[in-house]
Amino acid sequence: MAMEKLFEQRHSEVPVLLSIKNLAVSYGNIRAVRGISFNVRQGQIAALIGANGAGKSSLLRAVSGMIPYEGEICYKGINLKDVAAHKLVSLGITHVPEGRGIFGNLTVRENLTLGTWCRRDGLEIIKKDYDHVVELFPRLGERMGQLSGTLSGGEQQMLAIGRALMSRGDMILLDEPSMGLSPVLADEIFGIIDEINKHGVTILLVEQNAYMALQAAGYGCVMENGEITLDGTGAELIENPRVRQAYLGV
Amino acid sequence: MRAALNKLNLYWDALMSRRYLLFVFAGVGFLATIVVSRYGLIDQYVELVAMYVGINIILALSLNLVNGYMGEFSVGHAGFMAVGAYGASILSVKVFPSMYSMWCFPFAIIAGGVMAAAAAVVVAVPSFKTRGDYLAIVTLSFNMIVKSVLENIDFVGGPRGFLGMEKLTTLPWVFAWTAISIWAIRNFVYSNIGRGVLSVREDEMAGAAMGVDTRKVKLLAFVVSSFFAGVAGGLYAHLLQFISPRTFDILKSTEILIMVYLGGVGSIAGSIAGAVIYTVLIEALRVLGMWRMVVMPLLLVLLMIYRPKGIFGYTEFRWFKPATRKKKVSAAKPCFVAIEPERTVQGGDILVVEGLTHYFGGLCALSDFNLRLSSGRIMGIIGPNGSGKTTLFNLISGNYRPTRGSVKFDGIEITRMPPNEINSLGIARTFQNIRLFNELTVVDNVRVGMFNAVDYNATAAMLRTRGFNECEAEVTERAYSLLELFEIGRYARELAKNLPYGMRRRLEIVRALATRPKLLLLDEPAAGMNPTETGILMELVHRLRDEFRLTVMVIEHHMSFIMGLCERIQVLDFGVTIAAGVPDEIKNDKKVIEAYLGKSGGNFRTNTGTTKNCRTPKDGPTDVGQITPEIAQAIGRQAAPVRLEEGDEKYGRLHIDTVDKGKRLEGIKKAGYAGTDDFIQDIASNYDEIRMSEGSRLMLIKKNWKDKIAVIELRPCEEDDYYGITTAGIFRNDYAKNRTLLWDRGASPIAKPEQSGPLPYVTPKDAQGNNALRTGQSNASDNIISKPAEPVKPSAEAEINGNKDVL
Amino acid sequence: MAYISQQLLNMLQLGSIYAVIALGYTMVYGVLSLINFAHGDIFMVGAFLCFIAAGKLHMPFVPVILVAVAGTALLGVGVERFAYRPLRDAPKVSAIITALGVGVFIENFTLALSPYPRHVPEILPVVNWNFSGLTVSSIQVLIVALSIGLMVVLDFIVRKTSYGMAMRALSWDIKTLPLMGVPVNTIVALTFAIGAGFGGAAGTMYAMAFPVIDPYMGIMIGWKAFIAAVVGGIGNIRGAMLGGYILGAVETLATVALPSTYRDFVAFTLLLILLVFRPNGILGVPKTIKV
Repeated sequence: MAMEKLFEQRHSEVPVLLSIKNLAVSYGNIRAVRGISFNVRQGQIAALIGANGAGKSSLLRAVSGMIPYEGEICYKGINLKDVAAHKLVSLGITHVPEGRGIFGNLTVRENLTLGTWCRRDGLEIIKKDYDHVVELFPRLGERMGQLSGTLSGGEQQMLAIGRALMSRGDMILLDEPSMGLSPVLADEIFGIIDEINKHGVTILLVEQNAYMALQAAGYGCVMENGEITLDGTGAELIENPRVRQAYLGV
Repeated sequence: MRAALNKLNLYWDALMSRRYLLFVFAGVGFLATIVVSRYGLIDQYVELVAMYVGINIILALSLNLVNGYMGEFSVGHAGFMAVGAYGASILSVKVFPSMYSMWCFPFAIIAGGVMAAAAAVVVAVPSFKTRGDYLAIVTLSFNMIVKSVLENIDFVGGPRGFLGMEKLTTLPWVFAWTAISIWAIRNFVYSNIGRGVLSVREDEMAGAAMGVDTRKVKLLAFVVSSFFAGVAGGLYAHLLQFISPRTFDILKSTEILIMVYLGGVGSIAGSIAGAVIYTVLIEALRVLGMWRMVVMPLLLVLLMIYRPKGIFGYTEFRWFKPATRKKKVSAAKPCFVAIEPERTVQGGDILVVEGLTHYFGGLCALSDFNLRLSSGRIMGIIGPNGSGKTTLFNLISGNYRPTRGSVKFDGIEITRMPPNEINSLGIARTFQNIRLFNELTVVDNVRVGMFNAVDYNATAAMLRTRGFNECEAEVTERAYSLLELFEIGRYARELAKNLPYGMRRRLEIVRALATRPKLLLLDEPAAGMNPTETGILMELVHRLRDEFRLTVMVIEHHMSFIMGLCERIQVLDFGVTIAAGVPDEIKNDKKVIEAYLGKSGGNFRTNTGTTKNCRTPKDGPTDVGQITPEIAQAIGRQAAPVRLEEGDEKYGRLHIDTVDKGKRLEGIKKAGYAGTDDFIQDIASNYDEIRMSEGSRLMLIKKNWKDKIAVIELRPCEEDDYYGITTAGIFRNDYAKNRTLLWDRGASPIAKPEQSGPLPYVTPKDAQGNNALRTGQSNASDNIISKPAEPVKPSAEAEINGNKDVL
Repeated sequence: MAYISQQLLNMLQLGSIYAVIALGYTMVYGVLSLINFAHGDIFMVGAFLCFIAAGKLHMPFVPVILVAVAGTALLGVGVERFAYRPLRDAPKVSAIITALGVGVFIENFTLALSPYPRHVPEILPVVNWNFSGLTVSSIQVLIVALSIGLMVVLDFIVRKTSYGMAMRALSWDIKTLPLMGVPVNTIVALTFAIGAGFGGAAGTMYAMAFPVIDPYMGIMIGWKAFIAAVVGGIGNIRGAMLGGYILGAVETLATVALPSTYRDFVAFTLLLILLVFRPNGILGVPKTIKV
């Protein structure tokens, strides 16, 4: 608790992009998220770590309007409860769901194009974004016409991130980006996340792989059984013995 | 007012708990119908409608068995009705002597039902493999085909129809048959076989894993269902005294469907209600004339929208449900199929897995898994996501057939057996994503587990023989005692879907236990549990081993749970076993810590890749030692990679297409590591061939983000055009600057001295000083071979001795 | 020889009609995994709209088709909005029963309004061309051309337009699609509009070829076309066409070779056999279930 306040004090001048207050999510009589609150500030990489079933994915799904919830989620001051799920992209939030959410029957290029659905700027600018994505992920560039269902796990993850970039949002929600990837690949993905963030995109990610997530994160929260039990900067949390014990197996 | 309501409630309760009253009413009703029809006490029209209601009840009930209780989508039920109608009519008109027609009537009806049941086999067999929409098509086509066939048989009048039946169907007959149908189907549903049917609906895979023979169950359900449809058809024919193929077309099937879904799937009362309401409404709305068939479907649509499960969906009238009170079990004749005495000597190997390998398409999920599990042990299988743990379980339990390898349980080869057979031999499992029978009660979930243990058959169930009653009581008692043993007895009558999470996991284990296994496979049983719950689970597993003499195999991510629970652990990573031993060994195993927990540190760690047909390295996983800052600096100063030269006789060969930079590597099948191919391309862009001697390894070092260095190892494979990514490791280093470097470790020779340009060879030892030249054979285990700053293009080099040397 | 060619023409004509109906089924099923059992009845409504436009309002050819197609498209969107959308998250059988109910409703509503079969007058003056014994009617040519044209248009829409791409994405994963900012309800409505519109087009084609129409005609034809779509590979545009033409061929052959009462029997049995050998349809691809 004290840590949170300290964190808040240190960063209070940076505007809050996403604010979550008393969020609660239940599936039947299972309470997946029990009244949590935290803020994500502009330009941050915020990481939510925790074991399987701790409620992390539920949180992201609540933010992007996929499931009902109690509590308040505000993005840039707008209460997201009043916003339909498909309008979120035009507000600036893009969600890369668990398992990538790639449309396997569409080609790589089509998946990327789908990311531009809500964009109103000209074809020229959009074309530049394609090039930017290809630059970031050369592998995708070689496979533009390939059905994305045949890509490997790592390539699909890259495609999912590339697609998120195509919507030019301010904030990207990433659900378990390293899942199913080899450590080398996961590391690369985090490198790319880092780079995207340097270009000004705020990132909220959820991860089981604590070590990688905390390395990348500016702000981290530990979730256990639907509640936030610890938070602080990534570096602080890595060093925190409780975290290490629970999640790093030390 | 409230007091009056309460009193009413009490009376209703008292009434409901006296099931025998149902029989009283039935008897009274039957007598009443005899009296009524004999003395013409009611209007003929009303009597007709009542008979229609009865026939429709039988139809709805029979379809509900397949569509509601088994969850299939059979759309052509009128086809079975037709078979029964025509069959019974042929017998009563053309075969049985007319003076005895009244006595022969029941036989004709039964015969019609039997014929319909035989026809059901035609539809049941496709249902083994297909479900849902495709089964709908099959049943629909069946309906059409029956109609068409009948149109072409002149013996029964063809399209003109069949006349000549006497009006043998009377109100008492209809009542009797309706009562019999309700009774028989209700008995079928509330029995062992009925639970099997429900398990097919709820989760066929879980049912099979609990030993349910889904084929037998499906066949029986279809046969019983069509029998009664045939009976209804026979009654119908002898009521109308005229039938034609048109009578039994898709419109009739649609009517039956409507009755079932209107009244509610999976409910006897629902079918009765649906039939009654539909029939009565159709007649009542006759006043609307043509518009009644407009109003009717509109009401149906509205009902579906607001109550998608129908009026009584999945709920049941209390009189139809069996008594929950456990009756005394007479010890006279135990009905449980005896378990074979233990064949394994305590301490013998209960499970032997050899060379188990499984591919999904080109991706290797499990590679060469070996295990000898002694009876009575608790064994843990751990590894990161996607490492093949659940695949292993699926292979053992029979859900998948392995590409290679064998599984022997208790000395029996079970590799290609279906899951329910494997379960009956003694292996039970739980599932990663909890596959309970959600719409069944807790106690019913457990009773499904006893499917194979029970001795009686479907006929005994339907007739409620004494043997059945005793056996069922025993099953129930065992189920309850099992539940109480594991402290979920208080949830016994609760629906499985309403249980709290921890209890659901526990129920799954109890259900598996009900199948009386010798080996229990638990797939992530502790997922989502807090430390207290985890502790309770650990105790539970110990109990299973001690009290039930089980051998247990557990998959988990929860390190402390596994370490605290298991006697032996095997660690998987990308389908390959990277470590095996006792918890203390595993806990401190470097490779495991780094591979599994995602930690990075000074040392490399190895995990083997997932390439087809690659031999594992001869001397086990690689550990190339610490890369010190000095080495890293040296690495950083090096430029792009260099190719090696031949020297030895035996070569493993890697061909890399180098024609165009940026082009896809041809002749190489990737192992699917996206970014890694970039470096290989970098190498490939400069060289025609990389040759490695057998058993050698080629390492690539690549700079990753935040100044980390990734090391990737290549090794040659059996087939020419495969390479394997075998080692991947990440460790932090702040000194690396350049991108790629080639590092060969092993027996392969390095470049000959007469090369163009200076070649700084750096070894870790050398790195302390400056670059030192090294030539000749490398016998040190750490050699770094590097290339001058400018990559030399192959085309620029002259062929020396026929070899394309670029060094 | 001429006889065979004549039958070939009949096959093409019948097949074209079945193909267009099958296209309508396959569109909706491919995108939503819903068997729209009311589709056959929508086809029937198309024919009746044709009758009203041509017979009662005496409109010329092009407006007649437009009325039929637009009318059925609207009907399809309406049915989706009021009967299917509330059931999107309900068990699938509920949606299917609702579809059955909607179908019965449409049949009987039409029956109540028009109890007798109707005769659709000539919408377009018929021209017959003679090629050495072979009579080719302009109607036949028109129907075949229309059906091929519709398939081409549909193919284009689905593969080359952004809305078509959204439809394909929807068929893969309806839950993730809103995350892309795509309004799912709009795409679904569009799918139904197209599917039902095709039904209406087929109804018009049928009315031109077989001018006597009745409210119950949609049932058999609808079911047969559905099976044809599955045989060709449901969810697959070319498959639907293929299935439709196969059905047309089989039926025509059966009528030629066997007494008329065998027609349906042969058609259904052959289709079933085809399904046994190719359970996913001829051009169908087994839908990879995401594990």
